[in-house]
Amino acid sequence: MDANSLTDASDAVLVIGISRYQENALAEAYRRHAGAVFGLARRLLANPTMAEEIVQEVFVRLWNQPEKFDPERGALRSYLLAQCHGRAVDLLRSETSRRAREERDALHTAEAGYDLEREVLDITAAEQVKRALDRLTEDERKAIELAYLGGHTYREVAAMLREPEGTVKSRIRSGLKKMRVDLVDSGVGGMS
Amino acid sequence: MSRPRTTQEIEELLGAYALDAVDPDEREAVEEHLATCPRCRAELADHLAVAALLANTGSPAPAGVWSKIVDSLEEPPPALRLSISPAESAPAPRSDTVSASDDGGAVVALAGRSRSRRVVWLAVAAAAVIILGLGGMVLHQDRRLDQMQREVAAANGLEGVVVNAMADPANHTMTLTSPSGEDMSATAVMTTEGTGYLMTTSLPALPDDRTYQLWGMDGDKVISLGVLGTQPHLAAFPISEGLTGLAITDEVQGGVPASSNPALLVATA
Repeated sequence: MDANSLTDASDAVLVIGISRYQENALAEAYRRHAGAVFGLARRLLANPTMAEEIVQEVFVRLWNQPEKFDPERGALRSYLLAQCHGRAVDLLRSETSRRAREERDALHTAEAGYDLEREVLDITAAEQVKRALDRLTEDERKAIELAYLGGHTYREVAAMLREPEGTVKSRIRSGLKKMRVDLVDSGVGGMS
Repeated sequence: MSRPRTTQEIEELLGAYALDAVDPDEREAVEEHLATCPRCRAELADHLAVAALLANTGSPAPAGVWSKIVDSLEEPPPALRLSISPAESAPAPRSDTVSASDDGGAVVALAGRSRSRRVVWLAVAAAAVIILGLGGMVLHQDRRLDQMQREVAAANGLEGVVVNAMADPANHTMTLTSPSGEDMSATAVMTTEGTGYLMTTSLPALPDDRTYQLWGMDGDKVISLGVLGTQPHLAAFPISEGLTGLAITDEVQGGVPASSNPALLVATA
């Protein structure tokens, strides 16, 4: 399998290559997805060095445990981003990074308060994703953004927004479902 | 708040769970439920796909991280290099006998590995203890491959993939036939993407403690491409430049690093 043919291979074929210890298959997966993984980690941690460590961790884990990726449960990019998000949130919630989080929150709060909408709009490339976000109620959008891009639990979000926990929990779920319907309707890749 | 118990309580948490926005006890409860509930797994996959789009910043991959990743990769099990013994030196009567090479099972790294690690592997391979461990590594690798093949087959429908691959005139097809004239055969299609697919319906089922094993010939080298199980139908395998032929043998369960059994089916490019 040479590098040229890999650029046309599906993600599933790349993961087969990775399971066979083909380093160029991992390199191609990295080329495709490391930017997004890094962007998400940096957004959550506001610390490029820690974000790079997470990128490294996520791809080394894919190499060591490719069987953890289950194509039946979604695309490779979703999987890698979920791994990255989980790891970044673990770091945020650990005692050792409490200070990093406070600094990050101070930075974000100074810039935009708790309203992260503008930032999401800036960093989200796809028009359809912006439109899908726009169609949510403001409450749904805030809850999703604070949880996903802020790294907060729904209980924390509820406290921040002074809303009942159950309400925030429901808004996150209903908002994600609405976005999905919208994105499927507009034919965004990866949604079916 | 008490740990969620009912399916409805779990379902309500799926959105927050997808965003890593639940407490540890809730996470545990959701994961226990997901293990047994395909419907909730499907909903979770949907939420994760939406979240992935929110995260899609399109930033470039960070510079310098790739080299750190390469440096920390787990060493692979070595690829096995054997050679086909000429008929006159083979213990078995057939000229297509697959047997260990004269160099006592020297191992080299897989293609694509860096030179430095290849050197390390050759040095390590010199130790007899590593050679004794090869069987275990082959087993480890094959478990990994089998798992991946099942998953990809489940996701894509391997049969459909193979049918499409066969229909593509850019792909090269080989027919494996029995050197002893037995009524069995297999077809292999080599895609331009570097994956080969083997199809056969005529190999007799083996007992549970045996397996068919696929070998690739690269010049005078023979490389294990994986075990095929007791009754192969479809299998995917990696192809590399220089692959000049394929062979299938009957081996003990789990496969062997070097075969001394006669090839049941053979094809040459």
